[in-house]
Amino acid sequence: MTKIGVVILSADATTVKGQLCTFAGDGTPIPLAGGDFSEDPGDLSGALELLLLENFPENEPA
Amino acid sequence: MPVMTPGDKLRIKVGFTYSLGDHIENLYYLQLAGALEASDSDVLQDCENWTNHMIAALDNIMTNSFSVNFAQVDQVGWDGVYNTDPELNTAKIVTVRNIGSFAPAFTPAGTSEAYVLSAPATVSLRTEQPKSRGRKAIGGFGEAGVSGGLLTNPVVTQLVLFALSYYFGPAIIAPLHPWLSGVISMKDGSFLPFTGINLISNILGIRDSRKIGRGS
Repeated sequence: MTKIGVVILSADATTVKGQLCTFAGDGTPIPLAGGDFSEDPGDLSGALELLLLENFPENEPA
Repeated sequence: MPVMTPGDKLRIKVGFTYSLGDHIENLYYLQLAGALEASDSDVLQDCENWTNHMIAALDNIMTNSFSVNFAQVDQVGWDGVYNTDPELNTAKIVTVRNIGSFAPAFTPAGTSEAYVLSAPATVSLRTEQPKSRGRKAIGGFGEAGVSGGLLTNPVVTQLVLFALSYYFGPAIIAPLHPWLSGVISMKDGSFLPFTGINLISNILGIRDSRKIGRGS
């Protein structure tokens, strides 16, 4: 398991922009290369699940 | 007939009940925006739609041992004098009047046992005032959502959806009236809408008041 975060950069009724991150030892978020997303709010769930699976497969349920 | 006027603030108290008897409450604050008054029936309808939209994100991660029995809506104000010395500080949020209540639609689908209530998933939203944040401790998610002491990917996804609804929900649900979601400043009683960049992580929080024997 890896300590991860999802940073919501901006959001409105049509687009949610964000970025996956990990954390440095002092807790500072470190943006993950290739972890950007920009989705319609209605599509966010599926897109985010896929992005998390691709980047952090070790964090999937057993 | 009572109405809310633009600038008025309200609090929604949502109560979750665990089958073993524990009780969790989450508080949400809204401010009426725009230029029109809102009737109490309109206010209740907007609050119910928003609450249902928000907690629907938790359906897939909370264990079915939990239920939501009620949500109470109160118009609130602020009273007292703020002081950095806790013993001299009399500032507090006060209930102006009860607007009404409703039964939220909530059908948690998780079948695993509930994880420790004093170690909740947390969502913290920023305002323009440092340290004034909307913090929500989400208890009642299932043990299946935790591995190695951290929340799994599906739980993080649902927390992000919950946070977005908490942040923007009043706009997403096409309400009868425009609302701002935020918190009330304990320094001067002003309403602080959520803003800026926010982070949702898979690191568990701590809520001592939910430790067995110490509180609810």
